[in-house]
Amino acid sequence: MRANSLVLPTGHVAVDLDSFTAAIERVSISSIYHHMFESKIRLDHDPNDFSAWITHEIGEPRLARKIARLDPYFLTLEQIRARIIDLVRSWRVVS
Amino acid sequence: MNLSDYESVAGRDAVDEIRLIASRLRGWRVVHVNSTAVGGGVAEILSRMVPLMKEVGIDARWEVMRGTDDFFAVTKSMHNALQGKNLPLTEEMRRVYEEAQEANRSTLNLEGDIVIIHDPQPAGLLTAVTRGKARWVWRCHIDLSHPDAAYWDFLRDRVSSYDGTIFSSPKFARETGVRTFVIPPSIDPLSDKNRELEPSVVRQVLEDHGIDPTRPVITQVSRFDLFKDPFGVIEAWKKVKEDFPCQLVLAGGSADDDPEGASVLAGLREAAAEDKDIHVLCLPPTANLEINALQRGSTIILQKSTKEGFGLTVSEALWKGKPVIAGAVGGITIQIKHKLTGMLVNSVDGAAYYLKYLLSRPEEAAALGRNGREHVRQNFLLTRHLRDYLVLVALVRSGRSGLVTVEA
Repeated sequence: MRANSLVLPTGHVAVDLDSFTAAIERVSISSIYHHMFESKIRLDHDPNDFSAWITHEIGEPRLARKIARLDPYFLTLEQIRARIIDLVRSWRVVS
Repeated sequence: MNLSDYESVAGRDAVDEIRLIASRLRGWRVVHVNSTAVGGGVAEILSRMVPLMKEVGIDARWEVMRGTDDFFAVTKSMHNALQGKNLPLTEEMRRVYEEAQEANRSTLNLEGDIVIIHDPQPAGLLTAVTRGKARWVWRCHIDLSHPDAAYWDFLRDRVSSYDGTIFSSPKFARETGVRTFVIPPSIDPLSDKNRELEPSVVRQVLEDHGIDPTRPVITQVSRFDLFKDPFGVIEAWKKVKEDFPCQLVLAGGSADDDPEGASVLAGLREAAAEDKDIHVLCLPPTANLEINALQRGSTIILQKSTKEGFGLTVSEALWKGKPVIAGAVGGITIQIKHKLTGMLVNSVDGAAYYLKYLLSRPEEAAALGRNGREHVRQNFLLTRHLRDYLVLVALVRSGRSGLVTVEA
């Protein structure tokens, strides 16, 4: 048995951390799942799409590592959504 | 009811997702075929699903096959035999089934891009002629894990030429040699059975049935059927009531056409006569608001089944934020994750233990209820069901599987 996933553009585009958090608030949890876990497991995107983008496009590898450490075994997808938003917002306050 | 009405309960993101997927399928002709326009879970789902599909741009249609009383007697046997009863399948029964398929092939409009055939009754409609250019998918709503061999052979001969099959759970699926999908069923959060109710309505319904709203209420909603273990529920409740004074409600449908159900109901009424805190309620099939109110007015909901199909009454209870204690059978184990979204049990003592446990820990009971509601919101609402059908249409159309990427 294996999961079938349909991957298509949502129309949400992030160019900086503000637009990133705005998009994370709006997308479905399927998008969170795809970019955080499925892309890593099925597409070998390491450590996950969000962390890779924050490292390479935004230049914040320490924030990217915090997001990569979110554990799907202890958090629901909605909790992961909330934690990503909290991490990014706290990061912006500190930096 | 339109799709935007579901935003407040399923979430705007879930509704946006449906619109997004549907935007890639606009104009696709999807034909649903079943054997009844009213009554039963399939008709209930289709009556909501088809208008929503149309609203998002799918050219969806619902065709209902017709049949004689003899045909429906055959398909009733088929329904029971496929779910494990050992019943004869005669040449005459095969002929009656085939004649109904032939008659419906010429009267139903089966033209479409995807034809979704629901359950065994219309499964024989597919032939090289009726197929046309469409993809045909057989949607099975029943548990096929232990079918009668003769009936299964008869059905498999028909569904093995489909382009795909859909089952409600991996537990219920059978190998047919064609692509198999798993799509669980769903509840409609805006229906009378599940929508929000004013506390005054809930209180009134309880009082109308002689239930005291100020004392804890333990409820099981189910048919009067021994597989739902209603006598085990009474036994469990008796073990609890000395320490935790509470009332028991056993609410179910009319059993007029079901001799076994009638005798179970009589037995329960006899048991209830011994204790004024046991309420056995035999409600008509239209009592959706009453069932809703009884669930909402309950402290804990039981579904102590020893054998179960998908058991969607569990999702109905979880959706109302109630702590649920249920038998670890059938589709219940998909809805309840033990100690996270409810409690799973395998015995009367187990049910009694968790009744005491939750009655003495209201905060923990409330947390289970909250988790349960969220689990249902994400997995067992009509909107998720609609999304899965749209994904299925896209996958069947593409002929691909796994991670399927659609370019901008």
